[in-house]
Amino acid sequence: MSPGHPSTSSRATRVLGGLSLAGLALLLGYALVWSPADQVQKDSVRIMYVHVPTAILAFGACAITTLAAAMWLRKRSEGWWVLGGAAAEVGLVFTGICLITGSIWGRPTWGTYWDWDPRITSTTLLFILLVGYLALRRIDNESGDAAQRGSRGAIVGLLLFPNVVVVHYSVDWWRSLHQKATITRLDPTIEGTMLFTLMLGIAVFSLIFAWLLVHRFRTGWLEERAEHAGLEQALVDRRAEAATGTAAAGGTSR
Amino acid sequence: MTIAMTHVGYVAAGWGIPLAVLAAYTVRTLRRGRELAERVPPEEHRWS
Repeated sequence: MSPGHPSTSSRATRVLGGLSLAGLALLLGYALVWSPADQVQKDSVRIMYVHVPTAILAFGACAITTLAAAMWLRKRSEGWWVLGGAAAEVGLVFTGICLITGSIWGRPTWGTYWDWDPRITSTTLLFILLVGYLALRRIDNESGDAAQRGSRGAIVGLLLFPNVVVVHYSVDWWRSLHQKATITRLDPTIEGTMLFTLMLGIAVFSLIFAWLLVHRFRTGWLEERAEHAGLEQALVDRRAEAATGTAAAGGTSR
Repeated sequence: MTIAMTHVGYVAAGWGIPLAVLAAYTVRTLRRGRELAERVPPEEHRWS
């Protein structure tokens, strides 16, 4: 994007985008070449360097959406409304990637692409909730301006983070094929270059997530402005039509 | 150079699909933002 052309870019997003791309190049080197294969999982462990970061960020996106939904219900401000939609949409992309990579990793490791396991099932439910939240927002959006919008979408948004808690603890609460916590425990079950690569993956995908979220937020903000301008123009046109009609009727009656 | 890697197809799909999805979503978001930025007056672009 050229700096002079109208867009959702700014100096900060260009820096963030550059860092994301450089980080992604470094991550690809570590994930696919420099880090060793796992003794049990062999080279399929390399999929974990995209699966785990996207899962963490999908959960982060749900936390932001739930916060934005709560703040929207309280304050009814446009910024929270736009942030909720942006975080949910980016979160939907990351949740989808998490499910796809988990499925691809599961085939060589567990011998199956899919299992009705508590972790996989609750993550799929999270994906469906995100789709539902975004769909309900569209209906709410048709209600007009900020003060008139319904709250159905926001109520679904409130359910997202509690479901993340269920996803996280599902491997402890129920019998699960999915492995238990690896890096969120005090003695991580992964170390050396593999741990470094995983941490690098989390850092790089966090940059990508932040970059996408900022652009999506700005796009949402512009959508609101364009819709508002469109409504105002429609009102002006309607008033002009009505005035013309009245003048014509007056002319006929004379 | 020979790369001895097990599960090559799974690793390729496990990285290729996410990168393709992210690239497609990025292009879509940037294009949509650009279209809207042209329609909305510059004073509404708080970031520029």
